[in-house]
Amino acid sequence: MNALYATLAFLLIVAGMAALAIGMAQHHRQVFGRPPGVVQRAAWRGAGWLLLALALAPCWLGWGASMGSVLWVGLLAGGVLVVAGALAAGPKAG
Amino acid sequence: MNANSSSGTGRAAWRAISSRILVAAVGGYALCWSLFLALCAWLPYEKVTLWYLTGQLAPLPFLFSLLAAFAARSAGRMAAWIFGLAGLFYLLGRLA
Amino acid sequence: MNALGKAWLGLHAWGGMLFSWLLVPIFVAGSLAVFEPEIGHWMRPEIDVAPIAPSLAADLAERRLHEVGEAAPLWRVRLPTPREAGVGVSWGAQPRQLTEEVLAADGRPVPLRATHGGHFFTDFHAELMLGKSGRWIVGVIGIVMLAAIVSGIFIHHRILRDFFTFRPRANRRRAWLDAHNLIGVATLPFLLLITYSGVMILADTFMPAATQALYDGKPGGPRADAVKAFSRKASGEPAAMLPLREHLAAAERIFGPGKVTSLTVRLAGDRHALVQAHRTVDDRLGAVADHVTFDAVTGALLGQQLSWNPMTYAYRAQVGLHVAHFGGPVVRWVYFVSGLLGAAMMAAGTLVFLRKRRQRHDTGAVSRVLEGCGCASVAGILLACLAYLGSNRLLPAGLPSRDAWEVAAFFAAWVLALGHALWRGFPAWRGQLLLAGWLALLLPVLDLTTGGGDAWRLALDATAVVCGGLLLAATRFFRKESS
Repeated sequence: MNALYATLAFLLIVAGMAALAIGMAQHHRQVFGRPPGVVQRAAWRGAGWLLLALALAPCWLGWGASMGSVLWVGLLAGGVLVVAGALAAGPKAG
Repeated sequence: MNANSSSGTGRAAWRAISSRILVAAVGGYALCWSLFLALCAWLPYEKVTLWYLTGQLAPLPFLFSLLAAFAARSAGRMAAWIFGLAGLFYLLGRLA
Repeated sequence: MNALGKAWLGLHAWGGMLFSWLLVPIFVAGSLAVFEPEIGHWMRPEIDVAPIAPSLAADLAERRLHEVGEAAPLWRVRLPTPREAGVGVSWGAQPRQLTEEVLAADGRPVPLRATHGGHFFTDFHAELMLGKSGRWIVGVIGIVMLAAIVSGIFIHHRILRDFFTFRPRANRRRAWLDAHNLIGVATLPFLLLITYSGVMILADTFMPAATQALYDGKPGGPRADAVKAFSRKASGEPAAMLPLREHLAAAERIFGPGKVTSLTVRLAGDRHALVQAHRTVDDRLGAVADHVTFDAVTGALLGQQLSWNPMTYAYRAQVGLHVAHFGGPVVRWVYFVSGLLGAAMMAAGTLVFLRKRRQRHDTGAVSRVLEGCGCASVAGILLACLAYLGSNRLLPAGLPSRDAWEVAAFFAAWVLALGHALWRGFPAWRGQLLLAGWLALLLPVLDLTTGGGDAWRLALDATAVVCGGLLLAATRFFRKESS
């Protein structure tokens, strides 16, 4: 069960980090070929933070608030690295 | 990064670096010791609470001294600050 | 870069690089130490993972202790856990001088090879096998690491604006710098937490100011105040004790089924004998074990500690955050990977530094030493760890002081790696990483041909294969530079 929660949390974190990255002009251009508009930018960023916050839920369900929060912070590192790696591997990587 | 400070900058640079390291090490130790003395003397908690409280703070004075010793324009000025602060804490600890 | 970043550049670059020679080995050993029991199991292929129910384990331990420990006043029983198979029994007069055995499911002691097992990595991580002076050294190194982290935030602050900057196809120094920044910022919370709590734990040794002020310098004083002890004097009259399984059942009624990890018997055989049960810490942040003490003869509850001074708990929570006994396999893997990423971050920083010197055509003796020590601290330490694991299976089981030879293999491999790196210069990086990668890939072969191969050991083998593959992939980034 805990493995399931951890997988879910990690997927949410990767999705959240990806949305945060797309909310940045440079990476938006890399993914969609054009810079984001003001609304799009805010939407991507909002979605990113929301997904990251949502990832707290499976962590807390599986580990309780204190241990779950530690795990959440630990998983954030993986999310950053996966998204950075994917952006670097993709086309038009700087 | 200034990877060249080992060569061509001479004895004065080495002396400056080693005095900063000395201030960071001795100053950090003195600051931590005196801070603990002052906290143990003035905080109104029982012994075991004080011990486990100060234990958690231990890395901070060392970190502060090390960063301050390398951020300051001269090691001497920072030594005056750190040892002044340590002396103040020590006096506070003694007063109680 | 802002003014503080400029001022701290020398501290960050030189301090970070020089101290990385021990910080990288400390991070690698610490990552392995997360799996201390699992590595210990791998290194004792004599032990079976057959599950033993706690009450049966208590029976087996009791029978064995009556056989061999009748004269000893102190008995200890470690019950089997999902991480540590077999029943551990130990007995003796002093807590620090106990004779130890591991019992199999049939109750017989398993003939074990002498090894420090996974504990070697914990010991090396915390004190470099040097005891108290090692704790001072690691403490100093940890403080420099903290300063390197804080100064790094100021120096590389641009990464904070865009976490996702990674340009592996840019020039090599840019790519290493990106890797250093990216891993550093991704693991920043972990690095701060693990380094701060590590220094905090070691400060107990190198900063006794509060112990002096409050406890007249008695090192055991704070612990004696924090942990309740329910002890009493021997009566001198012998008496039969209740079966251990009944004490275990009583303890489980307090802590919950399966939550007791160990039983300790004091004054065994005396009318005043005591049985103390400790609760597991794997489901809480704080590394504090609740405990309960019974009269061993009557079974009466003599005392229990289920709550802790909040400040003690806060301190022990930081210890728990460091040693990661909580949260099960998921948390352990997060710690393992984060620790290795920390080591990789420092290795990338070292490579940026060395690259810069090369671009200045600074290839004198100093550069040779810096490149050699850097290589030995990163690739060499991996070879040393593999030599330690390999020697565990290759040395004859009955060799006198065998455990010391395993440690000797670790340090011999490390010294050889350093010698090779100093002799070959920068190309040694690629050569040693290749060798470490292939040796890691071969570890399962060694395991399967020398008596291992149960599910737990195969998990370690699989981890070695993945790490070996990653190392071989990483050698790609050293190819051009080696010419």
